[in-house]
Amino acid sequence: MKAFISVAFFALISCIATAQQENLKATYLYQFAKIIQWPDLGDSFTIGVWGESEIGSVLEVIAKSKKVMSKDLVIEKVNDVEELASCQIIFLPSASVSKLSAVIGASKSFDLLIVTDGSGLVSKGAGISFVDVSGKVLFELGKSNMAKNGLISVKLLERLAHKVY
Amino acid sequence: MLRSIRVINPDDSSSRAVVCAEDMHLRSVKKAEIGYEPSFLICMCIHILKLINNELMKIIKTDYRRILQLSICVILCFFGKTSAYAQEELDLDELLEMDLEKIVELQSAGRGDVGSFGYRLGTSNSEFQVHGYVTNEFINQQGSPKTFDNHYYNLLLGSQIGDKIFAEIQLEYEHGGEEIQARYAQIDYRVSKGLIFRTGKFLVPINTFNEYLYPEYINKAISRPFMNRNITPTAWAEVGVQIRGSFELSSTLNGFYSAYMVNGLEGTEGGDIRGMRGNNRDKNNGDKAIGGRFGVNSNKLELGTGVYNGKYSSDGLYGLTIISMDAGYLADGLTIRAEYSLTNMETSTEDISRNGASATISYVIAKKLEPVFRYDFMNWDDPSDPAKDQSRIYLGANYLLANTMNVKAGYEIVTNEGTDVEDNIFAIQLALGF
Repeated sequence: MKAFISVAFFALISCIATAQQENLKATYLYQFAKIIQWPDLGDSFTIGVWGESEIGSVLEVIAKSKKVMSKDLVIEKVNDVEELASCQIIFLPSASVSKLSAVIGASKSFDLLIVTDGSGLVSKGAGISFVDVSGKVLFELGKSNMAKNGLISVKLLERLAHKVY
Repeated sequence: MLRSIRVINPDDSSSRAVVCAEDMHLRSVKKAEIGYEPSFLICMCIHILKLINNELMKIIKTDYRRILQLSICVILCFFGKTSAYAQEELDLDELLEMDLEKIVELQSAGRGDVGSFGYRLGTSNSEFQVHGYVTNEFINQQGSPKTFDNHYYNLLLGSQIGDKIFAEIQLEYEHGGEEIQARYAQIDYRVSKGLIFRTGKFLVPINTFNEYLYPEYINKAISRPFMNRNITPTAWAEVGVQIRGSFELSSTLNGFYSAYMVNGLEGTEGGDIRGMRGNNRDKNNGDKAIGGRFGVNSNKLELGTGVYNGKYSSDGLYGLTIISMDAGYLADGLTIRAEYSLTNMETSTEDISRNGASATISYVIAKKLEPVFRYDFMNWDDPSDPAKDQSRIYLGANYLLANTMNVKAGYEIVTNEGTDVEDNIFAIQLALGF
């Protein structure tokens, strides 16, 4: 009996925590889009989400009511590096971090913020990576990685980042 | 859709079959357009429920404990998922209203994390300031033992949130004693340069000395004028609300003002105003004191006048009015300041009128040495004790170790009216603001 209740209780907590983390990460992505100064923007601002991710769904909700620098926010599901050219931000969920090197290689010719989910990924070339710190969602910043992708990190990001590389 | 109309013979089974087929076709169209027919759904539901009920009853009879456990899990998961979705929507709306700093703040310090309110506030968009001032003295007064005195070690703790909100407290640690008290503890909200709201316990803007000059690392002399002890008793702070601000009168001249309502001084009839401070909460009567100050200042000149009016007796019968005027001139190392204050204190007999003034002149030589001369007096208006009427000449010199640190040496010649008591003072003071 106790074991069943415990399992159910932790399932409940897990459901809530997962939903909050997805919301947080999606909101972070939206905030990054607003804060960073983008060299060239077209008619819209596109955040790409690699593969299947609930964050993409949350971003879709955000895109319905929010704009980035007065431009429509577009969320695209990306499955191939060929699709990156239309994105300003690409988010690689933890299940897709194996694609990081391919994304870095493909994005050398245009301005792209690569955001990953997991620790140690900034050292592998991500511009920003979400990290779990005692159950909280914070982010690490790769200044030089952003510079390689034609982006300049803003002071605010440097101040708020959990670690800056 | 056209539907063929045929004459149906009830006894003709082929005709019934046609009708049924047409009816089924029509139902399938309805299903596609408007969903299942309600009666059909209800029948199905009832049938399914009966089946479930029968099966459940069998299971319950054989293994009711397992069913109970399963039910609790299902209920918990249902509420868990429901609350998770509710939380999801709520959180997203709230998150989208926040800026990045607030989000990081929330993430940096939350439930089950280290630290408490201070740590969590430390992650917010605020700048914390710790300052203070120290006054150490050696005093040799006629008729009294020579003594060292750790006069003040006061801490100034403040925080600025954005460019509009300012909080500050001065914690006073006096004479190396054990008691620590708040000289002021205030919050400012700046709407604009011309309008600032101040609440809490704040220094009463009665004159320049009380608001801006009394800390020893700023004050030119070692001691304070008599007037600033007993007429406008520095440091004089009251609890209430205030508006203040400054405005440009010309390219070289600014105006400033303040107006306040406070609990006010409270004490015995005809008593010492200094002892009336500290009425942090009105317990005896709800009378509030009002006052304000206004003036003008330029790079070199400052002129101001302040007024305070309120009931001071515990029974709320007798009023006290204080008026103070001050002037200052600063140029090329020369500082001249003068203040004059007078009071009118109602009593059950006749009003008491006390007054006092001070004038200070100093001049900085070679950026380091600053000779100081001050004359001050106070009239107590107490014929039974004329010695309370005092005057004093202060002669001293300050050595400026830094902008906010100096060593002072001074000699005070004190005159107590109607007596020949000699209580002149020689003192050395080290004052530091940090």
